[in-house]
Amino acid sequence: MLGTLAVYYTQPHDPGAHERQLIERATRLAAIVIERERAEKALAAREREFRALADNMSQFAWMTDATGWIYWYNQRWFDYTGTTLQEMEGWGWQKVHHPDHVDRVVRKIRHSFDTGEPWEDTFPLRSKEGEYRWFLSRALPIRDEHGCIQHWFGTNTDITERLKAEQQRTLLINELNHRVKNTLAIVQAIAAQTLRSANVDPSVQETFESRLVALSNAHNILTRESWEAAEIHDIMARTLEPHAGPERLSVHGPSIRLAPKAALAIAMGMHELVTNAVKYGALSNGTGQVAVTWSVDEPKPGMFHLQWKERGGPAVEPPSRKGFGSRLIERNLVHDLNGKATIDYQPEGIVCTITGILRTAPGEMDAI
Amino acid sequence: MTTEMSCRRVLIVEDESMVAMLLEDMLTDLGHEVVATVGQMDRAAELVAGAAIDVAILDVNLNGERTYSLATVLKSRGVPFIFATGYGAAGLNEEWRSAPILGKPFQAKDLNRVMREVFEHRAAGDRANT
Repeated sequence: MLGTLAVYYTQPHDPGAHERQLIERATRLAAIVIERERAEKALAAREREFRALADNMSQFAWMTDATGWIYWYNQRWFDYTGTTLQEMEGWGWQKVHHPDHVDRVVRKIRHSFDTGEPWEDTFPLRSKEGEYRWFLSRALPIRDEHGCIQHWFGTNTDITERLKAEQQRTLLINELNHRVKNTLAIVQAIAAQTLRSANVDPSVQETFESRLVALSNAHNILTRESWEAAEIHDIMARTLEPHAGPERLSVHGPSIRLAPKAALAIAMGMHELVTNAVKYGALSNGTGQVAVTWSVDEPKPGMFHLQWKERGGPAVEPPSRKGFGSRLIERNLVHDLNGKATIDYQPEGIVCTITGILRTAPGEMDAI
Repeated sequence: MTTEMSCRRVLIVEDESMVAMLLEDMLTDLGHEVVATVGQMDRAAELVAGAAIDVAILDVNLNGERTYSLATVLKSRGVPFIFATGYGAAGLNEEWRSAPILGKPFQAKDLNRVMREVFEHRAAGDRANT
């Protein structure tokens, strides 16, 4: 504008009121235009930043409107699936889902769109090469200031390698368990042959084998949980149930996740107590009772207390010599549980008290 | 409590000789007759297809190979079988998961119980069919 005026007047010229007004307006207009352009540039820059972020993140990302209609995917989605927005928008994404999973996926995501609950699912998606890979997928609703859902923002994360590693690990643990079990069976066979050829009382072999099987059963429970921990109720059930029903042997206590060593120690200890009870104690007649109870210190779980109490069996006399069973309980259990164990030979029935320290294993807040 | 069970002719398929020996002793002690003990797949396949047996005990993993094919043949012959395994039921594939199973290591009383169950189950099946 100023340039135009400068060119228009060939002589130096004092601008009149009208011209001043014109210049002023023009300046204001220019300022607005400049400001708008600056804002547009900033917006475009932010848009570029967003695209760069969205297209370069390792996940697939997408946005829907309030109803769940997808209107935007990041570039990774198109790169992987080899599709176009036209094919994929709305509910078109079902085309790249596995036919065995798509119905379940649609049902679940519809439920989230209807209720506003965050969505999470795991399913295979087909790549442009036709290969299916597994994705952990999540979506969250984005709400306006009134709390109304405006959009959903979703992501898909490739977890194929992780799943493969997990499968591999399970396979390995199963294989290892199989070998350990075979080795235990061989040990059993060697012992059987040795005892047989030495003409040892068959009850000795029976006792030995039952201990081996108790150990093996505890292994099974631990293997099922990848040797991380075992639930105390599972250990009790597996060890005690074969010997007596709930009308003779009651088991009560809170759920405790036992670390492998503690689980094995308790399984072996309980095995000794129950076989002893069957032979000589409260389970050797038709009416005796055993009550197994345990508790955890409140409010801060630090110790755990377990009691084995026999009543109604034949009169108990303290043994003149400690057998392997009681030594196993008093020594090994104490050692492996880092606690205390006592066997009280009360005339009306054996009472065994075990105290163990609750230890926190990695990822297990309450494992002993 | 435990009634005597009639003598059965048993085929043992087990690649671990010590375990096979233990099984032979257990079965003999329980009053059964061990027809043969084999640890090779091809020999096992022959016996499974033709031998006069009442029951077979199959190690699931025979030198790294699964013995399901033997079970299939036995099933078609109507001969009952028991899987012996260190994997437990979870180690069997889906088709055989409900088959009779002995988890290794096992005691003679466990073997006796499973044998009994197998023949009781069969007897019940026969009654249902007549």
